[in-house]
Parts: sequence; structure tokens; C-alpha cells
Amino acid sequence: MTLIGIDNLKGDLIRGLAFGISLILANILGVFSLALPPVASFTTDIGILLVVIFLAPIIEEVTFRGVLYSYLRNVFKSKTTARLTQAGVFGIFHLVAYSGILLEAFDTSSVLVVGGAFLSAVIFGFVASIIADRYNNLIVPIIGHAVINFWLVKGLLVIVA
Amino acid sequence: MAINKDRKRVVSLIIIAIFISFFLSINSAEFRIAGLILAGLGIFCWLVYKRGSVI
Repeated sequence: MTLIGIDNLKGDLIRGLAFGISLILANILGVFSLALPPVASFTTDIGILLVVIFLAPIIEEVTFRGVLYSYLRNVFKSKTTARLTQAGVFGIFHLVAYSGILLEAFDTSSVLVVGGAFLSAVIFGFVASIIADRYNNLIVPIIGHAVINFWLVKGLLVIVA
Repeated sequence: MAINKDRKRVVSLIIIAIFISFFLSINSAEFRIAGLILAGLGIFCWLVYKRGSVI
């Protein structure tokens, strides 16, 4: 897979935006959310934007769709199995890295919240792997990931303001 | 040729992301663990693509 191919950059950007907007619509309908890196105490907007729009989408997409999924496609005969496996790891990563799940593992009141966050990340990972395969490029899922992250952190604030 | 260019692009982006992750993890107590995890993932990707063992 070409990871950051720039042959059709304009088209990929538009597709990425469309993917992100569809995720935003799913979030507005209340069926989708993603656990985010803890950025609440950052004093500058630049810090938040760096993490949410640049760092997290690029590193996560390259790791999970670029490295892990490419590897699992060779290990498993079925693409669906590879997609589900990497999506599961992606979901667990979001919980462990960003949600403090290890500390709340035995708190039964957070089961629904944690389960919802995990399922959302798994669904996102599965769909992103299909899109990465379809366009043979990671730019589309990276842009979509950045758009939904931006929406979850800042989009609501902009609308309220 | 195209794959080599792609690999250089990925490695460049990842290296920049690793540096920013480290910088932010040093400067923000709340982001420390997540920043180190992201930087660790970035270093992992960097090594994988440097070796060329995936693509």
C-alpha cells in the first residue's frame, strides 16, 4: 500500500473531508464518538490542534492501518479478519492510552461509557481500513480522523460561540 | 521508486510527529503518558519503515 501518495492529493483531501463529515453526522445522531488524547489543560489552541489534528491521526493511522493492517493482511487469509483484528487493537489502544481504562476497569458504572467508546473506535478502525484499501492511500483516513477529532474537541465550542 | 519516495515521506512525517510528541509530553503533565505512547508508536513505525519490512 502507498501510505502518503500525493498523485491525487486534491481528490483524496475531498474524500477525507467527506469521510470526516459523515463521522460528524454520526456523532450528531449520537451513534459515534472517539476517545481523544487528554488535551483539556493545554493553555494554547495551537497545542490542542497539534495533538488532535496532526499527531494523533498521523501516528495512529500509520501504525494501525499502515503497519499493523498491512502485516495482518499477510498473516490472515481473510481481509475481514485482518480488519477486525486491527480495529480491535485500535479500540483497546484508545481505551488504554486516552481513557484511563486501566484505572476504571472495575468501576461498573462506567461500563456503558467504556463499551461505547470501544465500539466507536472499533467501527472507525474497520471503516478506515476499508477506505485505506479502496483508495490505496492513508491520506483519506488521516483527514477523516483529523476532522472528527477536531469536531469532538473544538467544533461544538465554535457552534456554541 | 514511488515506494522509496513514499517511505521517505512517511518517515519524515513520523520523525516530526515524534519530536512534537516528546516536546508536548515534557510540557504538559496531563499529556505526558499519551504523548510518550504516541512517540513510542511513532518510533516503532519509523523503525519498521526504515527497515522496509512492511511495504
